[in-house]
Amino acid sequence: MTRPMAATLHPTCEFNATRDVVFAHEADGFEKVLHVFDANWHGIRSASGCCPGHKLAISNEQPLDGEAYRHAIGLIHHYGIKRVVFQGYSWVANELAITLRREFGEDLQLYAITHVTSAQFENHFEMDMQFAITDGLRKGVLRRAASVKPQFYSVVPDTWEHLIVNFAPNISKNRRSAVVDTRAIFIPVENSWRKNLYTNILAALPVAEIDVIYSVNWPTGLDKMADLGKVKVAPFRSGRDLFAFMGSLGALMNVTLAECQPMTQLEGLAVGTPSLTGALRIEEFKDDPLMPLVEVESLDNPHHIGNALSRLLKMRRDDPSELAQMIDGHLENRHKLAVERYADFLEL
Amino acid sequence: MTTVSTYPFAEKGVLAKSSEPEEPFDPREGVRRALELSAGSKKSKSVSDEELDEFLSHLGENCPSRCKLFDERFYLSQLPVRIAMRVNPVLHYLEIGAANGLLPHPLFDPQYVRRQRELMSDAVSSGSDWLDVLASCEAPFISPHPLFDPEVYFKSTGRSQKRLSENPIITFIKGWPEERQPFSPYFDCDFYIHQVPHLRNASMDPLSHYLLQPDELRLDPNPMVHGKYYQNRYPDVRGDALSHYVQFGMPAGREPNPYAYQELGELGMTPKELYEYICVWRSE
Repeated sequence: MTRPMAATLHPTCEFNATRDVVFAHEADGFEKVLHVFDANWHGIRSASGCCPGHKLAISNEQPLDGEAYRHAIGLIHHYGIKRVVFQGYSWVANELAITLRREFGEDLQLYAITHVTSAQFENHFEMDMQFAITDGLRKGVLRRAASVKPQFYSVVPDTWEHLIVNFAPNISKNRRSAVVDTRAIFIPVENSWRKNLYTNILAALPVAEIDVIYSVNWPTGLDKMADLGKVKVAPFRSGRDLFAFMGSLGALMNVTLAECQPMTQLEGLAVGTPSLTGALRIEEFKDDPLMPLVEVESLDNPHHIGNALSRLLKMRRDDPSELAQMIDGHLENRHKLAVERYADFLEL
Repeated sequence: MTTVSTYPFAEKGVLAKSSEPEEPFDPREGVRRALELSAGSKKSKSVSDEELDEFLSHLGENCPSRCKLFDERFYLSQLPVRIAMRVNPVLHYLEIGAANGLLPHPLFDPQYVRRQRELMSDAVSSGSDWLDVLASCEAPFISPHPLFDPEVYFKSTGRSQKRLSENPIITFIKGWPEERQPFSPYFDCDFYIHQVPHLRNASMDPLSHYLLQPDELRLDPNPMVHGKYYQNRYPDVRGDALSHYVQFGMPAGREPNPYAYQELGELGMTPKELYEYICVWRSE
């Protein structure tokens, strides 16, 4: 059968796409929850895809048309959805929220979860979206708003006081890679100021335990300052291929300058690979033995980051079962807490 | 038998000629049979000549509503006023209307009934599709319309099909709005009433309401079938989109909405998968 051309002309409105449900957790009470997120905001899409419930991907680049609104309304009715969570917010999401409120009234409750840090307010769009969420709360369009950034209520006082905890992808421990090259690491970050690619690479280069540094972006110009012989650009991968690749490496690096709960870290942990990040300061995990191993304080100090990476790789090589146990313990606690927080936030 | 040439529009070429039934059909006896079947008992109560004459003496809108699955006002609205006021609607339907595509009730689709009859090789035909539906009181029932499934209706009421004295469509028409059981795997009453809130407390059932709307104003009764999209995408569609889709579009693997292909994939565009995709009723 030839794919009908007419279908491609409609705006993005992807319901329960395979990539958004295949790694999702299951939890009682979430059968009537719908997560709405942007198809091109990869971190948020990944975080939403791991949540229990239905999924709808839209795009902030294309306003929804009549058919897309009609489809969203039909899906909500067909699946008996009672709660819609906007994961990340855009003008398109805002219009959809207003339409759903008008269409369903009190039969449907709308929630928003922000995935930004105040550092991102440099981009005025993010501030506009915070205003739109606050405005939605005041006008009764949205019932509640929460954040995955700790203490975000100190930035936007209308934010729910508890932290929304991200789920890691739901991947069975039995599917973890049996062969791990502990002398190779992966830095899956964009080449931007905030994502700190150059610092990550500079930190990893002198570490004796590393032979290969895979990066998704080439650190243009850095060869004037350092020997980039260890650095290789990894080909584009997604989904299972990406997870398999992550699982075959010694560690991931994601030491960025501003972060909430990076999915890169959680994707790595889901396949048994630790990921170094900046200090996330999540109170809920302050006693978790894994956190001191995978968090670093000095985000722009390659020397300190390199030492932390060296320590982590040494543990992965010398005591892999101890590290695996710490990762499993962390994931178990995280998922239990994530279900509780979502259920509490959504009043399930 | 009355021939179509007596109908005033026949000369203008508006009407099709009826095909001759195998057995001669007497419309007057057809009315008697309809009255007997509508009396409520499975073993039909006989109607005397006097009673029949008395009924046939009522013309136009003065005709009492005694035949089930016959909406006199609806039927007469399909006739020119000068004819409507001079005929007994039931007799007119059996004499001329049926052969010329007029409908006795919005929930009666003669082509759909005929297609079922073709599949029921051992069924005896009375010469009138409409009478055959009225007389179908045992499973497998003849359904009068693709959007009314007698089996769904009776499963949802929890009654035994063997104890019926009438076709489930009659029970449905008589029972609405007190008995609001699902009657179709495709028609979602809640979804439809959500869009037409005044139907919530109305005596008119949502299926009749849906079918009586003009095409351009008709709202969707199935969350997954986008009527406007379907009609624009497939210009051969006639009548209401949902009836067309369940009879012709779904078996042909057509898209019920612009996102179906994306959500089901190429392998999902089979009749079975599409049925699961749009089905709004589950027996369990």
